[in-house]
Amino acid sequence: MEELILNRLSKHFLVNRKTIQVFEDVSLSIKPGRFMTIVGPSGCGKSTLLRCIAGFEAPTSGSILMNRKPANKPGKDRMVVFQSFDQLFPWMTVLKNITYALRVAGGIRELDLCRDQAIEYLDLVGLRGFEDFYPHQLSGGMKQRVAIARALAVKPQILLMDEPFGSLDALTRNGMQRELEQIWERTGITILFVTHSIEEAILLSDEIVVFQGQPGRIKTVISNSLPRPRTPDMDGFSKLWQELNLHMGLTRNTEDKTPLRRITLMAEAEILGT
Amino acid sequence: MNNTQSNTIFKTIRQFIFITILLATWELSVRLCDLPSLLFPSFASVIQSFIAQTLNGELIHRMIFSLYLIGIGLSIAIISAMIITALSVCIRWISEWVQVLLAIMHPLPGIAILPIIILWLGTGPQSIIAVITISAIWPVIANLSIGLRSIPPTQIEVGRNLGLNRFKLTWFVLLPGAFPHILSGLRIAWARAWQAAVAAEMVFGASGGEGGLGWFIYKKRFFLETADVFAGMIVIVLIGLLIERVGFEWIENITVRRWGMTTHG
Repeated sequence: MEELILNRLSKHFLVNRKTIQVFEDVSLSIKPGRFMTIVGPSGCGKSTLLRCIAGFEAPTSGSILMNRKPANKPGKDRMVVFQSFDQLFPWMTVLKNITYALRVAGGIRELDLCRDQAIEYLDLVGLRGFEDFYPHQLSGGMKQRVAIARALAVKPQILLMDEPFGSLDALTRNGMQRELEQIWERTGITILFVTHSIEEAILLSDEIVVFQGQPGRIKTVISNSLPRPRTPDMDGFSKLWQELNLHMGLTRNTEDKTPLRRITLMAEAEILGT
Repeated sequence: MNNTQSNTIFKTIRQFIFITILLATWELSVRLCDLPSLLFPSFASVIQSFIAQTLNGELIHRMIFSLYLIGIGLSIAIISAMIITALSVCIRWISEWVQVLLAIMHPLPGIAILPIIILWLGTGPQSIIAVITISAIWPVIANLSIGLRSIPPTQIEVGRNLGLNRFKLTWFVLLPGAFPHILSGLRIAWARAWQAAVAAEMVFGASGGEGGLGWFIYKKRFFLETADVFAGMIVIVLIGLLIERVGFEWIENITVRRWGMTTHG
């Protein structure tokens, strides 16, 4: 039985009387407890898809079913962890950010119970002892941990993560990926994760949805059964990596045609010309 | 925390020394150049009349009257600003009207409306309150709407994600998020209200012998008691400093600074 079902979802915006197709005809389903990643280039509509699932934006057509019930408004059963570091409320301490969420969304009235549960989740993300810090006193990685703890504390059915580690440095990012995997294993929560990093997708997920840009559509879904914990040098990793690269059109031969490569080539030519 | 605290203490000490030098120069130049005391009373005589006017209750009475008018005027300004902003958030054409009104009224000094206000409301405290309200309301509205627009959209989305309704979202997310701008709006509003009150009182000041600090200064100038005029000015400066340095600074320290949300140095 599927937890989340997307049925022929499409979304377009109207910009200056022109219709911009963001994504088209997206059908997906996730089973409870699975870790699914949507991977695709920037601007392919994968974030907008996640925002539609979260209920922040309405799809133009198609339906979203959460446990067979339509989900068209934001809800605490689908908690989002964003990429940006400003998702915590800066006027609340780390502890207050979580207890507040517990109080309004978890419906817990007793202050002591809120506090105990919040500390439990801080412990889960390894931030015990930072209860009384304000968000501006934390590093980027720590802020994302608090955001994960806050989202989990509400006990959602699915965690929607929109490039949560996208603004972190490589080292912190690796640590966070490992910890997220552990948290996922310990809590058994369903995760839908959006990233543009193929490596991140392979390291974390059971199922990898390859998204293709403009308009965004699903190119293929690849299941990933590599044993956990995964490392980039394990058997089968590079094979999967190459396969995904091929699907995303990022092989050696086509690399020279990517916009970034073209821009650097043009810049080089300009320098040589003057 | 400790470092910034000791820094502010040193800054205050340096500023205090500067003021002392300024006052000493005043006193010395009056004594050495033998200036007419009707035009330039010595600092010592100003202090004397300040003490005398404080002890006989006159200054305190005037001060309380001015603060009372400002209190009413500012409260009306803040409450109406909140209502107007709330309405313009909900209804688009109200927001467009408010923007036009803001552009017209914001640069106009409140005191410039006084002649019209006197025609409409007469020469009583109600006219002074009206001038204070009109002077103070625009900076509050302007900063409130800037503050609301400066809130990161993710924080609003987190609120919606947690299932907050409109009211709770406004109270628990939008208002605290806009607070840094609200606070600077209140600072400007207070300064403008204070200026408007003193200026308006100087035009007519009293109905039935009742008036504030502006009226006090105006009356003393009429009788050429120049030292008393300066004493009145000292009270105006002292109250301004007290509210700005102690009041607003304290609020800023326990809120915006602690939250790392400062909009200015």
